[in-house]
Amino acid sequence: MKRRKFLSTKQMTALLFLLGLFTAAQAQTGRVKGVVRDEAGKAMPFVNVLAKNSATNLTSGAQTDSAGVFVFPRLPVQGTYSFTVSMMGYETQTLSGYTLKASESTSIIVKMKTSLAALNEVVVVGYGTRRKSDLTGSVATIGEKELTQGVNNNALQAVNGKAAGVYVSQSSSAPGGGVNIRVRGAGSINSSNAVLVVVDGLPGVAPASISQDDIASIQVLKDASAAAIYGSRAANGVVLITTKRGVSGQMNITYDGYVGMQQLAKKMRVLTAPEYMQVLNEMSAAQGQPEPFSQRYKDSIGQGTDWQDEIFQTAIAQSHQVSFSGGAKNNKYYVGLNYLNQEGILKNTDYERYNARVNYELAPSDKFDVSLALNLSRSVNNQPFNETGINENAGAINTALNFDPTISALPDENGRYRQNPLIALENPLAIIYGVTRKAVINNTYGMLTANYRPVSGLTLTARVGADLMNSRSDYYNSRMTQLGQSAGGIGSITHNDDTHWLMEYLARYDRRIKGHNFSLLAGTTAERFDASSATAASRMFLSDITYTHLLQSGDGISGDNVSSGRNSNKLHSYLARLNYEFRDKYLLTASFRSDGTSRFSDQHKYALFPSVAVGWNIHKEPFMQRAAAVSNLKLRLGYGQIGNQAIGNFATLQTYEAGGRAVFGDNLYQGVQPARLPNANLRWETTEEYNAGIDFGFLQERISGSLEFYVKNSKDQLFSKPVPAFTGFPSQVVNFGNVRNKGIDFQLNSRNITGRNFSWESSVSFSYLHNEVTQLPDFIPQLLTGGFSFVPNFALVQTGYPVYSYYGYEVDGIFQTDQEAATSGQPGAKAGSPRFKDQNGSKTITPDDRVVLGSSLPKYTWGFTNTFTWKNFSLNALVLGVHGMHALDANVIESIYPINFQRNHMAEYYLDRWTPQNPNARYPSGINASTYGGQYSVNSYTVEDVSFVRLKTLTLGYTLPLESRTLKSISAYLAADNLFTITGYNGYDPDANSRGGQIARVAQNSYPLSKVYRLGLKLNF
Amino acid sequence: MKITIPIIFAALLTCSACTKFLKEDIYTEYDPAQFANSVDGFEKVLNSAYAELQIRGYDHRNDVYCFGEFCTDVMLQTGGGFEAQAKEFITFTWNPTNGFLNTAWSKAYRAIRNSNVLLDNKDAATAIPPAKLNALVAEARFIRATAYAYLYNLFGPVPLITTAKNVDPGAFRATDEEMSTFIIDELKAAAGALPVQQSLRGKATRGAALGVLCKFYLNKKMWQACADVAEEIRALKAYSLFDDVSRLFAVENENNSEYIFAFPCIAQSGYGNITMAHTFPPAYPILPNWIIFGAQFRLYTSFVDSFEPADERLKMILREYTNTSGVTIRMNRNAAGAALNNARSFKYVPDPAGQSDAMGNDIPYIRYADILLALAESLNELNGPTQPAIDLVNEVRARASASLITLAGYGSREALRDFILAERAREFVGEGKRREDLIRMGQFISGAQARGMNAKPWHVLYPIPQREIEANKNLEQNEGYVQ
Repeated sequence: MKRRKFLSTKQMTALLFLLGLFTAAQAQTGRVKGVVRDEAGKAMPFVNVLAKNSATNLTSGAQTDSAGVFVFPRLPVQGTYSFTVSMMGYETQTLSGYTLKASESTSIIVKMKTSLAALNEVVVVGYGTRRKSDLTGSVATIGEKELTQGVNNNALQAVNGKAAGVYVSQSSSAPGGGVNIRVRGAGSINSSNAVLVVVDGLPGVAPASISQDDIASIQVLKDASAAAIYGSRAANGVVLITTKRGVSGQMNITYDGYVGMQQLAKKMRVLTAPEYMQVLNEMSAAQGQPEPFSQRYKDSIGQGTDWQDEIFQTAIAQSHQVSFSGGAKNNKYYVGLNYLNQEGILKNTDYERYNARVNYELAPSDKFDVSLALNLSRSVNNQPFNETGINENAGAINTALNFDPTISALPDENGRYRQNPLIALENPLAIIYGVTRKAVINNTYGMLTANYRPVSGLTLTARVGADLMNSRSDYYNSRMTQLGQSAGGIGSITHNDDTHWLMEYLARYDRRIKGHNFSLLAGTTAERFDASSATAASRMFLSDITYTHLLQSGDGISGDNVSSGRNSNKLHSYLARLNYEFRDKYLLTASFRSDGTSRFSDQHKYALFPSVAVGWNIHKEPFMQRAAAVSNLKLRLGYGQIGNQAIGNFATLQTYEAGGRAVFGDNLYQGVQPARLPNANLRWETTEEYNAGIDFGFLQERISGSLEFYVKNSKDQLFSKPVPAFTGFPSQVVNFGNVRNKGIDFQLNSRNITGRNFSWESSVSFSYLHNEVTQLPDFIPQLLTGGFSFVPNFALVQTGYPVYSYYGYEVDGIFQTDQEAATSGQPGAKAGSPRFKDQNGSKTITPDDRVVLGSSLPKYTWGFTNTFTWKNFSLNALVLGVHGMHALDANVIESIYPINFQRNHMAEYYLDRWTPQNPNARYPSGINASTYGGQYSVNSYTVEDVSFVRLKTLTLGYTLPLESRTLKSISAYLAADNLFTITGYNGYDPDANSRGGQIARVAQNSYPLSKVYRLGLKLNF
Repeated sequence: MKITIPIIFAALLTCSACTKFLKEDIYTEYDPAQFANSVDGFEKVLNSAYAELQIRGYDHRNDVYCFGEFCTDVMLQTGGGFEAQAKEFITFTWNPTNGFLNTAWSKAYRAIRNSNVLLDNKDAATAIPPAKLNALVAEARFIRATAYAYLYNLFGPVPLITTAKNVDPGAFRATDEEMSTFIIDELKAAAGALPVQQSLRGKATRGAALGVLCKFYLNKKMWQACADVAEEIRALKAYSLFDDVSRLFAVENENNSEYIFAFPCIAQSGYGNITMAHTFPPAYPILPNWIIFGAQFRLYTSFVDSFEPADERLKMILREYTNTSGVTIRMNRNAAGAALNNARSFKYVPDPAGQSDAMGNDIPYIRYADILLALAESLNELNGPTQPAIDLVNEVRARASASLITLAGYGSREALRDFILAERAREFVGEGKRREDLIRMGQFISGAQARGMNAKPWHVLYPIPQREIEANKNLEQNEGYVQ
């Protein structure tokens, strides 16, 4: 009957209008209104209240609004009612024996007591849940209310600054740009350091394909004892995302949305047109060449063009979410609909996403239930062109910084954007308007779960999951650009089809015998990953008008290109876990997972990933009872092994592959060649981690937190062992080497002031990381990689240093005279050249004089959240700090050692350059720069400390209490993201990493950070 | 219970099938056996060997210009990010970590590996008709020997790897004699089995094998052997000088009979000749489908001045142009007559169908003029100046409408030797031959020192790439370079 009611037309109508009358008017109903307050008398919003009729078993749910008020507008009058009031962190209260009278209102006042029950909070762990007090591993929990707000198009952004030891970095601020998350450092030198994202039990989901408003909580499994249940994919940490579920009771409709304005957070200071002409004149004169700009010409140019102003704009971002949830006894639903649209501050870039989620649970009987979690998402992303290219291939940002400021931004008489033929750069506006890069991603994923409980304590679960991703990327470079002009238009389409299927069977048995509490989990899972791709490209189109829609209109000879690929791999696992608690005081968790992958040879297919952890709830011991102030004290010790299987396919097999193409006559001839030196002995990179933690809580959990120490050793690193090239191959993949991450994670939450009208809560997360390569194979005493365009290898992997440290020359001054330069032994040095430190005293500068200049991993990271509430106002601020992190700045390299002298550059390096008249300059002369560029370009000028402190979000909120029957509450907020960043770094964003890779950081004209002002609205019907 | 049973069954099925489930699926690679016993399979392997032997695109820039020209007295480079890389070669500051040397080394050994794959399979290839098999084997031996001759030229003796199976990663460098004997014997054997003509331009011919051998002898100063092979090439009657030297390198004349062995190029990214994008001076009036790079290949004024005004080859050198703004720019000498070292070699007549940096001009590896001058040089070294040697030089000069020289004018071996060296510069500028010519004549180091470079005697060989030394402790570095 309840079900029929849920599906009734009237309710559907109500749903469509988002307000209105939910239940049909019934003859005999009464109204119940209540208010829920905490011990200090403060109104408590978001408290769940469940009404239950003892006679009819009818149940109905409600939630308190911002004034702490809940209302049941129409409850049938017969029988007596009980009201169960529950809220996380408070003791659940049940008030019974209420009899209602028709058309009369009954009032209830509830006072909630804080409970140690924060400890009874249920935490999602892999393949199950545990009470927080029973946890033995290191699990960070970020609840719905604590998620970091902002224009987030990636779920990982929502944990920024919230969990100690979890560092979230926005590697590009482009709409739809990349987010990097590192859990407790980086353990793998050559394989992936990416976390495993598990959404509602489905591993490997793209964190961009989820609406943040659908997220109920995020758990990060930080240590190996917690993560080992995910075996070979857990080495870099596991992020578990749990989405919202329906609650039995009347339908709850919420709207949550914002509209924001984004602005360039910081402009880079490049030479203005007058400065540029002046500098070029001076430098030409210093080289005995005529001055390129006459005074008359300089006067005619005036202030010239600021190309950053031309390419950046103030952009709008908006997100709108409507959610419906509710349910009856045997079914529950949650439906979330989200639309996100983020324009980019770089013109012609944007990101648009439609997301729909349906979580539906059916429980035909007490013993059996089925649930479906389904997410549909589609994103359309206009991306910036080639952020990391150089010269004519460079992107708009790169080009705008280097483009000639004396050239007009207006097109010439032929409608073409103007060029400077001497600087080998495209006009930035021609790139913006002439080049299109668009990516469309359709992602559908979901999980169907069936639970069966044949006897008390035993749950059998079968799950089928799928993650289907289709994407298409279009690229079109029109005749508006020089490159497009010379090629008659360049168009390509790449299509990718990625599928992931999962099937798993789990059995769980829970039993409590006196003080002994057992929970046993066992299961098996099988997964298949399949990826295929196809690319088509052509040039010399009849017209640009057809864009990529008519590739066959290219000329068919000059660069037509087709390619395709497919690969698949499979994973099969057994897993088991035992949880044992004795008197809730002594805790033991042991788990193992045996993972088999198709990627390894028959003798190494399976590997075992065990873990064991113990916990001691000290505060439950009798001797602690006198220490009343201590509400929680727990000691945890854990050990586990986790793996990293992120290696390519076929590494253990000898096959032939499509090789190079020979040219005979005027045609290409495809060749075939051996693909690799196979290694049948390859196995997983394995991380062993020890974790020791203390959880504490004082004054009824007013102050709570944890302190943890960990040591992680990642051994059997997959290395491409260089083999002599005369074998015909550069390298062979082998296992060797060890990276150690050790550190401290500290988390502190405190309710500083809990007054009736005013309250203040703080939370701090702090982590310290020490990363070190502790063992390398003897065949690779040091690994030096990372070189790009004209920058040499800079990222060093060497025993005793953090992985991918910056390696280059230390500048210890500037040569003042040619004679001083000549006697230094530094090749090619002249007065005004930087003086590299002769580290080994060899009286000459050789590659042996390079030293470690910094680490790409932060040493300290912290997040500090404060929330103040005064009456109906709230103020929330999140400040982030990242310290001891370095980055190689390609913009500085380009400024100090320009590829092209006539390009514009960062002002600082020219305005304070060495000249005979400015001997105390900070920077070299810029004359004959190639003698100290090239192999010397990685040095203490170009490797910069990018530590920063940032006010990530500042939110002022106001909640309007309402007595309305339809609209339960309205709250509005004004938020500012990235309001300020304190850093010594000169570029757009110290956190950006446009081309460094997964560990090493390189800033090269990164898409700049934006400052965002958002106006948000939350409605609860 | 109705529902439990299928669940348990399914679970059991998963387990029993798991071995099969975890078999690796391969969709994009091949079983080696597929290519081991058919003409088609062999040809596919051979294609990949040629692909590694052929040097074009940016490898051509690094190989011909950096290794062969910038370290000499004819050509230099400035501009672009490439400047810092080119500078190492201009200023004799290259070292074992140089990436270009490593690339060249690895590429040559991949050509050797791919040839060895074919040669390893030859005895089991019973399905291939013997005559066809011999021809394919001869091509593989040619590629392998040519790659070794190339490595020998740059690095001296290197490890001799003659199989693709279980290659010893601790192999030592061969002795000079082993290396030379191997190259000579293999090229002779290949020449014996290769056809004089191939239907496809760019494939190995008898003339190509003899040409590589002739040049190997020349650089080894095995004058008589060099002269004999040169005569053998002339006796093939397959080659002649192309009449209009200024159009010899144009795309439309690729099928000339002067190129003995060349790396064909097409106007497609990755498969083109990228010289001109580095040669066009700034704001040169190019076609809209071409491009001008910041990196600029320039000619020394002293070299440009060595041409007679009537020399047809001077037509291929840009000494003045009117830029897109209508301004006339002087390249070789300024109005005051000062040397600018900025003229350009327009030898590769820009390809009208060029695609951005990629043009279709084939890259000659050995051409007939080279053989004629090699013969002249050998004869001079063997017998001193003689009329046949003078005639050979004149054959090359006459084609370029340069004045003819006389025996009387070059009375000594030294005089003729110097003239031939200078003539080779004029004839082969931009073809990567200057370094070996100067080394052979003992002027590579002294010339560099005269240009003010810190050149040392051991710079006649490039260093073994550092990564090779690190990967194989048995590999000895060349003298002068830090181990």
